[in-house]
Amino acid sequence: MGLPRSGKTTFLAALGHLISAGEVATRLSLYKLEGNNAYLDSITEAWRRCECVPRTSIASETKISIHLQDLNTNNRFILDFPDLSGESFEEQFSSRRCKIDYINNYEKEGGILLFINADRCQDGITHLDLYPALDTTDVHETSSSEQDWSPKFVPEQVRLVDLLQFLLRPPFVRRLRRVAVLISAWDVILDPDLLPIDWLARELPFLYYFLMNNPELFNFQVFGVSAQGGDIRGEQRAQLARQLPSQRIQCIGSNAEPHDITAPLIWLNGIE
Amino acid sequence: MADSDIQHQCSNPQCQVAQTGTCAEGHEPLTSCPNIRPVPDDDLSIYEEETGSINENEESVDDYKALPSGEALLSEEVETFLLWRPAVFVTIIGDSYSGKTTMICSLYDRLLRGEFCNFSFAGSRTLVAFEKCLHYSRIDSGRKTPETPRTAISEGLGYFHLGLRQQGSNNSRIDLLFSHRAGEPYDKIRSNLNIIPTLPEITKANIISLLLDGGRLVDIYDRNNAIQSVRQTLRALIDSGSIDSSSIVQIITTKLDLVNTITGQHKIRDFIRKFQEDLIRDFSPRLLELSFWEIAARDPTGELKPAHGLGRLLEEWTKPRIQHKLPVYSSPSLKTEFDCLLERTPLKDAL
Repeated sequence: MGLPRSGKTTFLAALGHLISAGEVATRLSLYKLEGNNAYLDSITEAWRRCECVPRTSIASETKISIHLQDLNTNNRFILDFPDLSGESFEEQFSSRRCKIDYINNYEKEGGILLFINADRCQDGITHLDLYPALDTTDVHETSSSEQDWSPKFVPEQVRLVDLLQFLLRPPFVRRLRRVAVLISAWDVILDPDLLPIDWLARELPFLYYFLMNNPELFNFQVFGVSAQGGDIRGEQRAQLARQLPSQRIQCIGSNAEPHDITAPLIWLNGIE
Repeated sequence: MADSDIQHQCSNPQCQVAQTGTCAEGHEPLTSCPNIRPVPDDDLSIYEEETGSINENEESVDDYKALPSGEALLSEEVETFLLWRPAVFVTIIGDSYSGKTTMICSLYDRLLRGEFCNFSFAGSRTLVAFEKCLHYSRIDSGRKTPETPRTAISEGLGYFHLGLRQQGSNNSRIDLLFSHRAGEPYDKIRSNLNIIPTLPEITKANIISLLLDGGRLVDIYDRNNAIQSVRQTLRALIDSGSIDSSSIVQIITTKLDLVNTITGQHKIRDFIRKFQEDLIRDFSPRLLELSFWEIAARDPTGELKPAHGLGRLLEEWTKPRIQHKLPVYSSPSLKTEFDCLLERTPLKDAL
């Protein structure tokens, strides 16, 4: 789950490389290839070149199945990722409807990966927030650029809360769900002592308290993830490309090894 | 297709948009009006069926399920909600422009930023409604100064919902339902008590919040009308039997920032004090509680913090003593032998 540019596809690309390359120690590894993996291969190749991974459009939504093995227990299982585009979540919020397939996915075992991009613009700023910098001398003046309300103006944290709230009422089955909140682009966080959960409480407090105040509905953990390892749009790209690909990946969170982004999946699936 | 090419219809019988193409409430574009819907173009549908121009690969409506609207709750939705969990009903009554919507939205705005006076957000069925009301107080709206959209009469009665948890105490969840309707019906109840029974939010209320418009208090020509409108509204509610000795009434002075900044503020203070004393003398014995509050939901000068005074009100609204009123049924008269059997049967055994 996540809005456009929240890092869903980049995470999937990095995961695709990490579990198959065997470059660093991970708890989960690829057990076998099966079916058509063309989409996963294409985004993983772009990721290895330190390129922007092509974003998933609604038209190119693809369901991905990965066969994994837990190296501690040798248990094997299949992870299904409905690689939903951010636009489909945006549309769900604005049109107040969702696909039946989406509902069916939530009736299966498993949990929710909720993506939020740490490299984000502040939204929901009010006039009072900017006082006294804002010129309010002529209180009757209206701006010619005044725009009517539309769903696009709703702050990200409100939209994410509403997407989670949808799961609490029909047509969804109301039950306890595990939610791994992944703060992507964690490399932009300059404070090395800042914990991902503290970042969530500071930057998206509405979402944070919603999750905190509904423990009977959401069991959640917060992870900081940098799937690219840094800014691939600038000079840092060449430096990143020289690294071992798996070592570009960073993961901060409970029981997470520094490069192991399978940690959220392990927690999400309740694997001890 | 341009907006002007589309036929529209409106649920407001006073609106002639179908004929004139203009919204009676001035919404522009027309699609921004909540009452206006495009008229299905039958000709186009027939044409598409005949030519087979509808793409068979397109997803049909059947592939989708509707999700909750997020708009203000209607009365029947509130009844459904109450089957699920109890709630405190706060009925907000005030003349037009007295700040009813701004008060509630400023509370929501505080919760977006985290804890507010030890309360934090736990859920809401009306996020879209909150967001629409808050839009013009945000920079993204393009406005230079904050504004709250005026509630249209045609919107009727709706309820805003907030689920909260109070930190510290027993951390239990509290649900609040705030009534939301335009001020015009409330303007009229003073002179026509027959309107009161048509306003179900009054008898349903756990708390009645009557707003005294601080903006009118600072106007020497309007301040007497402002206090008398509150006084007469309270009298009308009591005399009509809509509220009684079991009712909790709050008189809330809004726009305190305007009162605080006016020259000769102490005179207004005295004026308000006298008004309050008179209300206590005349109406307090006929109510369970009559209390007075002051708020500044949105002080543009920044002298008072946003939602000033609302924290204390929130504590009052969520006091454990307040519960949703359960309907009181009078015992039916038992006449037949079969009825009398019920009287003779110990209920403990029957259950």
